[in-house]
Amino acid sequence: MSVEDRGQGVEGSRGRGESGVPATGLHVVDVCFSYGQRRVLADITLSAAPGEFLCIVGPNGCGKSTLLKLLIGHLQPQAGTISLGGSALASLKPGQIAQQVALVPQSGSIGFAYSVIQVVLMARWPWRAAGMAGGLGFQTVQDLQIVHEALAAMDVTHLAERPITELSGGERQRVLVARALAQQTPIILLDEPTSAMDIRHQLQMLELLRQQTRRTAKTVICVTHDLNLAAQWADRVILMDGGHIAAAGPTTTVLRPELLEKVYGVRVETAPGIRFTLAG
Amino acid sequence: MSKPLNLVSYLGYWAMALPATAVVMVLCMMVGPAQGGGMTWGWPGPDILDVRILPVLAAAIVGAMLAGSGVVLQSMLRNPLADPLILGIASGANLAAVVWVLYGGLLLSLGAAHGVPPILLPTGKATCAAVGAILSILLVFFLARRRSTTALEPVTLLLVGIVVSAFNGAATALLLAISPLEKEHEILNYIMGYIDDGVTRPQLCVALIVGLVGWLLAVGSSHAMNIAALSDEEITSLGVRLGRLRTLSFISASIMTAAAICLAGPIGFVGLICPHVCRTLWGPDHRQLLVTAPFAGAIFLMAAYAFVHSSLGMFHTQIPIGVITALCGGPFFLILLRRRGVWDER
Repeated sequence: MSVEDRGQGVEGSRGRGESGVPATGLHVVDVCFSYGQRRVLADITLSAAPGEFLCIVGPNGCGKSTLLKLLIGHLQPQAGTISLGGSALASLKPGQIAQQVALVPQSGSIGFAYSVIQVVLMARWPWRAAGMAGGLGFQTVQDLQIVHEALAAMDVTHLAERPITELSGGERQRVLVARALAQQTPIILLDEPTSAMDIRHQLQMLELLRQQTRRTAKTVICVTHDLNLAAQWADRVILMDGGHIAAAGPTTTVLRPELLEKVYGVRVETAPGIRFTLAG
Repeated sequence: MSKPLNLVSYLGYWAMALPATAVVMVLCMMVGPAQGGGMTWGWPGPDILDVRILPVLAAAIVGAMLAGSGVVLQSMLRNPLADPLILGIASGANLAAVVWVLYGGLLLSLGAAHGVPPILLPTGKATCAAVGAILSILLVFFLARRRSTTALEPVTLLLVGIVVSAFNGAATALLLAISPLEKEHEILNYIMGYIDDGVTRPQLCVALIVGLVGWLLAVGSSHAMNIAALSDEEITSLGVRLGRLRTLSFISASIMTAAAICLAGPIGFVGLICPHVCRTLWGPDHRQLLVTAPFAGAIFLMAAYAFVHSSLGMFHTQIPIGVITALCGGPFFLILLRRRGVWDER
């Protein structure tokens, strides 16, 4: 059973494109996905509007990461539709999807010792010029400027020429977020982005993402195990359980102890203890 | 090394590689065996084209193709051990060449007896090796394709390649075991990889053109190959068509390998080492690697050929060139493994 999530957020007031699909934002309608016989996602319906900060939480193996793979077009749903900015994801070319959705993967395995700036420059691939020069794809001055801004935003400028293989887990995560920023997409998907980051960079990154949603109306969808993070930063939370959406809505209605107990099978309560957040 | 590549530095690599290769080429053409034993230095007489120029050119082409193929395969398979000989291409060529050495005459007479047009019959070891290589590549490709996913999976490709190689190797060993003694030497020589003054101009031209096609295919997707080192999800999320890239890379690597093998038999270690050395020296950008590694491969194999050729005076027989590359390559690779600088420990 899924909780209907349509019509929430901001997109309700915006114009609708052809075939009744809203012209902006990301919309997932009745999506099912199985690996062979094993059903991983069943009747998932959700939407994310421009300017929204969404967190997806749920126990291990509930289908969160599979959902992200569907959203970037890496896997195709067996049923249901995903639409992006008014057009069906299935009808878009990989390059077109990459101009709209960026992914920050969990850890990112990089076999070659690329320098940090080379890794971030890969984000400019979907925006490369066509034709012969595009084949070798040398970066333009504008590309470099965008990349340097992204590096500065994630506080990794000083690492620019270091091999990515020599970075710590947290530094590497920041580089991957910088790459997603340099991709300049209206939607950013993050898979456990803060798992290895120290508190300063966690808070700085989340604040930066929130600013992006407010100022440039980006959509941020963050898969996380950190319920406190979700509680603190998300506009809306989607709680998944066994391939279904167990609850979706504002933080306070989803992150309730009785609901979490049902989904996670562990008794929790809102702790009165110490919590850190950005000052000012 | 860590700076991003731009047009100026890209052309810089060409400006470095071309003259270096030309100098080594001329030097290698000047070395030869002396008549009484030992080496001579200088230009031989009127037979210079056949004795010196053509074999050295062949060595250059073979080295370049093997190294280029190695660059592509190491990127596509995300594996430092990937080598042009790993995907079953070489073993298929071997098997077919051995079949030709043993049963070529029989095949021809059978074909003639049954009225098969001569154009359909193989005309030599090299043609046979080419057919074997192509059949083997197709077998690996179709076995490795999965119905559930559109893209070739590196691990599946690697496993299928190893299994096909083992099967071809066993069949070759079987034929070798039952072959008459006088043919055994010829077969062993081929299996170790050889370059000799039997290379003809048409052979060289065909190998060069075919190899260039493979190389151009690789260069066309070299930018995407950089991204191919990431995880599958990341590759897709950056807008690269994973399935198309893998298929193109596979075809390009196969073409380059086949061109090399038909000219010289399966010469090991060139395709493994040259990409590693260039990556260590100039960084992992594949646009640069597809320039530097082929030239490095050409230089390495020309030098190996010069040594092998001039040692003719010492040993009274030509050592297979594959022996030299493996003798130099084995220790080198061990040093590389122990230092582990190039690859992330995973």
